Amino acid sequence: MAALRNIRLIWLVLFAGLSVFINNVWVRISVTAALMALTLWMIFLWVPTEINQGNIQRALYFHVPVAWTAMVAIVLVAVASVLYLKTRDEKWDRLAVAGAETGVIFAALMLITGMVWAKPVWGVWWTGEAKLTTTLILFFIYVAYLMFRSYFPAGEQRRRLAAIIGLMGAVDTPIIYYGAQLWERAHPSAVVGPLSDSDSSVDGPIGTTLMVATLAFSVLFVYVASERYRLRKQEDEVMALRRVISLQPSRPGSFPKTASGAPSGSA
Amino acid sequence: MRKFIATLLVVLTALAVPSVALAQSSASTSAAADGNSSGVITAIQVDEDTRLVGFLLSTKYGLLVEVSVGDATKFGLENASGDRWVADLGEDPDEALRRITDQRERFAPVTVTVTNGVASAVVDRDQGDLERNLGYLFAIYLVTWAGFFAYIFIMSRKQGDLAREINALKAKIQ
Repeated sequence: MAALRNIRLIWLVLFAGLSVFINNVWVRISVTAALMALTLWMIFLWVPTEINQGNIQRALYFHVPVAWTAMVAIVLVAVASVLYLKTRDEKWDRLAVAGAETGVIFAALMLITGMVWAKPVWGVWWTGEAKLTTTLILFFIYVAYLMFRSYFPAGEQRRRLAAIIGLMGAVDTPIIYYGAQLWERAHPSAVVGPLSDSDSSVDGPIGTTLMVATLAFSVLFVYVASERYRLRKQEDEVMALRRVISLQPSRPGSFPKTASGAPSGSA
Repeated sequence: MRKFIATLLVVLTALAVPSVALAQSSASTSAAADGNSSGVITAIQVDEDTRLVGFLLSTKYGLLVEVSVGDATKFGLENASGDRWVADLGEDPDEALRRITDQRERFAPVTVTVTNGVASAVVDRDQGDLERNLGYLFAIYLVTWAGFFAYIFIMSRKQGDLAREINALKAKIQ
């Protein structure tokens, strides 16, 4: 049974891979929609209700995947920043921007869903423990990165400094992952990955649903980040075209028009 | 302006590490006062013989309360299958540790009665509304989907505007 489940998951991973390797917006939308529909079916109709927390535990299948993608986003920003610093190719800078902006959205949703889940289970919206605080810092790092890019004049220096900020922000990621282990408080320990142990790890239908949901959100992240990348490319193209127009010598007879509609220099 | 932003970023980064330590100190614990306290168990303290000596209670106000237990502490706890265990710590310390660990893993709230700084009773608290929290669940799904749709909608509108601008600029150049 477990082997059958693993085979199904491998097929799903391959299916999700389509959205990464086929650079077509409709393929990405279709794969994302199909996986999201499967995830919702599993969350509400397939996976049993958890015995201790009841229905609110179903928040796990949104909160953990969103948190996972927020981490992936900052790793993407860091990798793209390193590649930009090494090659000075603008496409890496665009990828870093796409990762950071998408990361802000996912990080904000991670914080909001976490708070709404904490209220009925812990009795409070927020506690000052390390895992939560470092996650909030991650959100601020994303915001600082984007603010810096907005306020600093465009050019090579901005791209270089932004890459350095992106790299500094990535330092927070392992602290968040190890947060619950190092300073054990109300937030549970890691349920997936190398730090999860037999007490904290999830398996069975809950584990399968969590894996499928994580896959679906990863594909959603790929779709949203690729769209943001495309938008950034368009923004760069507009700037380049404006530069070309400003450098173009004015052609004889193409004088700017006056308020009356007649060319200003015309007799 | 550049200097200001650069300074701000350096200060923010420098604050990141101490703020974790600060967060830890802000969530500092205090010994339980005499009377009743309710909450979920977040940490368990044992001595070198793995005998239960106390636990940390996270109350509904977000406070961490340190509770000490002694041989006379009376337990009345149910496990997940509804099997209730009533005994003093001195009678069966291993079972007491098992039950407290079980409560912690299930996020099952307890009510502790403290007398002279030591817990005299540790019992289950009513489950509250955990089974009927559909409103919170709905809020989580609503916020997530509304967030994504709003972002994708804004992005697609910007893409449309930029595509039109690119076409207009290209026409101008030609």
